[in-house]
Amino acid sequence: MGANPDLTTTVAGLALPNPIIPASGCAGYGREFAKHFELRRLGGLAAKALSLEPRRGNPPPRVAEAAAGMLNAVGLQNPGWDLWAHDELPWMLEQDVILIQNIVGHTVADYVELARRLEGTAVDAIEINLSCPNVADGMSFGAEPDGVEAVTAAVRAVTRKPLWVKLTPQTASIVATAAAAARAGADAVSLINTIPAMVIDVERRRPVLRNNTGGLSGPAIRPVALRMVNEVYRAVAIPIVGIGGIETVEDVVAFLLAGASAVQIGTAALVHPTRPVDLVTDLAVWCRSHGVARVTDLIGALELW
Amino acid sequence: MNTGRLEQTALVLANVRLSTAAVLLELRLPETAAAARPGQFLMLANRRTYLRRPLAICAVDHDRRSVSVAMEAKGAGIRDLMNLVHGDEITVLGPLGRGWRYTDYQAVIAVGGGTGVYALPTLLEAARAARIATACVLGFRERSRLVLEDRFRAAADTLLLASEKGGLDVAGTVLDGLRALDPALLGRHAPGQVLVACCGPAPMMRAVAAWAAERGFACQVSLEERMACGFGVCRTCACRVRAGAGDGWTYERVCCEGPVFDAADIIWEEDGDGCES
Ligand SMILES: Cc1cc2nc3c(=O)[nH]c(=O)nc-3n(C[C@H](O)[C@H](O)[C@H](O)COP(=O)(O)OP(=O)(O)OC[C@H]3O[C@@H](n4cnc5c(N)ncnc54)[C@H](O)[C@@H]3O)c2cc1C
Ligand SMILES: Cc1cc2nc3c(=O)[nH]c(=O)nc-3n(C[C@H](O)[C@H](O)[C@H](O)COP(=O)(O)O)c2cc1C
Ligand code: FES
Repeated sequence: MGANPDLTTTVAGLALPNPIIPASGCAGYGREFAKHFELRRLGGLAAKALSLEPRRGNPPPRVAEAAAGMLNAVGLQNPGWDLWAHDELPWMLEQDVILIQNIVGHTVADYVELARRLEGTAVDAIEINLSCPNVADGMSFGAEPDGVEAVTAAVRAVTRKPLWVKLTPQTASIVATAAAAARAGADAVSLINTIPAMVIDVERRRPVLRNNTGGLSGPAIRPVALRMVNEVYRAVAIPIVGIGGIETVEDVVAFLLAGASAVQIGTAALVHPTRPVDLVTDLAVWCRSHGVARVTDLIGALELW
Repeated sequence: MNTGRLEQTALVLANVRLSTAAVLLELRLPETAAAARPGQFLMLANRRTYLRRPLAICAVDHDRRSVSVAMEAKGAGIRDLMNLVHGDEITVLGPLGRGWRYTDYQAVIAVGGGTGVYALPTLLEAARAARIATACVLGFRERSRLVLEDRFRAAADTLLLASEKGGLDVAGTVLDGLRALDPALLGRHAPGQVLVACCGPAPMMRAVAAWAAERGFACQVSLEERMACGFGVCRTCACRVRAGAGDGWTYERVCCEGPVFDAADIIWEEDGDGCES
């Protein structure tokens, strides 16, 4: 057994103690996980979407079971800036974890205002959610390169913080939207968000979700996410945060090999609450048993046929 | 504060048939048994579905360091749990949620229907242990569905069993059962000292809450909603709860702020909304 492997990684200059980050919307603002493990053991925390005004979210049912995963139609429920800044932010900052705040807006101006306000906080990075399919107009920004570029450029103009642009797989070309984010000054792209989907209750002849459709997540989407991460890695120069159905250390390694500099864990943490922190341990064990001295040696090390 | 691992491995100690339709699973879960409070629930993994399934804690045995859950076949998840046998292992999360708040009352009337009855035995037993008067009214679809009669009888000063198909104490619904309760029994305590604790199908809970409100009794209901995580992070388990002034409300989490809510705070979903049960 060699020395402890180096798990540190960087995403466009932002140093992370390891590449494992709970995904936005699957970790709240960290409080529930913090009852069971120290958040600082994670690579970072991607906090639940934040909007300027409070959002109630969609009526229930908000979750439907799918083969190897689930659909959600939470509708970006969140307390809005004022309550977040008062109740959640100070607590999160005390946890000594790299804090990536996910933001969502109805208009470009909403994103700009959120980023402007975040600029005055100690949040470590901003993740722009251009992709959540649940709120009627959430789709518009991420689906086309123009929309991605418009939001990213406008936000870039008001913040010096690391800017991660979270992309939706619901687009003609993920490379085109990733390239648009890069052109507009994004520091990194996070991919992928959930895939719009439907589950039907045939007895009631109704969709299970009250919202009719919801976002598919979990292992079911992992191969799609891996393909997209690798396509973007080969075509676009900025770092990638890989997301989609990650459950095991082999999944983490697969995303790193495909080109991700860090990864986010969503649905798996809903079923196994300590999975994110367990994966940090597992990754060290995996690296040691495979003779990998630095986790960054894995990034993009995939060899295509 | 670190409260240890939420995810525990449970050894199945017993699979007991309770009725033609229901099964009780006894699980070795020392930490959960020590921490569980009446009205809390578990999230149980199974071999068929990706997400865990929520089930009420139906019994706690401190000597055997076990927790039991009881269920009736619904879909793939519950069917698989019903097939577990002694010696099998599953993982569970729990105890979860906020249970019954009963300690400030002089009398508890537990009202249950369908699979909702499983959330009530631990409440009645805890109330009895705290020297609180207990009554219980349960509704079953038919006599063959009657479950846990001995436990309910042992924990409740008065037990009334109702079935619309007859064959039990009261031919009718739990509401008919409540109306059949001895008025002297109900009159023994100031209305504000009486807690009606209800778990069952939403229309039943709504009707029972109205019955309690008419009499000035406090009422708590244990809600069901589809859940992904069960421990508060995903916000899928939404129910409408009054908040702020006037008609204000927010979606709260059944798994954290509930499953037991004050009935007066609930804004019931219209038909077709919320959980089907
Ligand atoms: C806090 C709580 C306590 C519960 N306690 C009990 C109990 O003690 N005994 C019992 O038999 N049942 C109980 N239920 C209901 C039980 O969880 C569901 O019947 C079960 O999840 C159905 O799963 P399935 O795979 O068999 O059915 P399916 O219909 O195939 O399930 C599909 C999806 O819908 C969800 N779902 C379906 N019905 C319900 C429901 N009524 N409530 C919540 N989610 C549902 C499932 O979890 C799953 O995600 C409880 C539910 C909650 C929320
Ligand atoms: C319940 C739930 C809520 C989510 N909320 C958000 C959100 O607020 N913002 C966001 O950018 N993504 C959100 N997502 C998407 C996840 O962050 C992630 O991109 C997606 O689920 C794929 O990863 P997974 O398969 O590991 O879950 C949510 C996903 C789920 C399941
Ligand atoms: S089920 Fe996830 S927050 Fe309640």
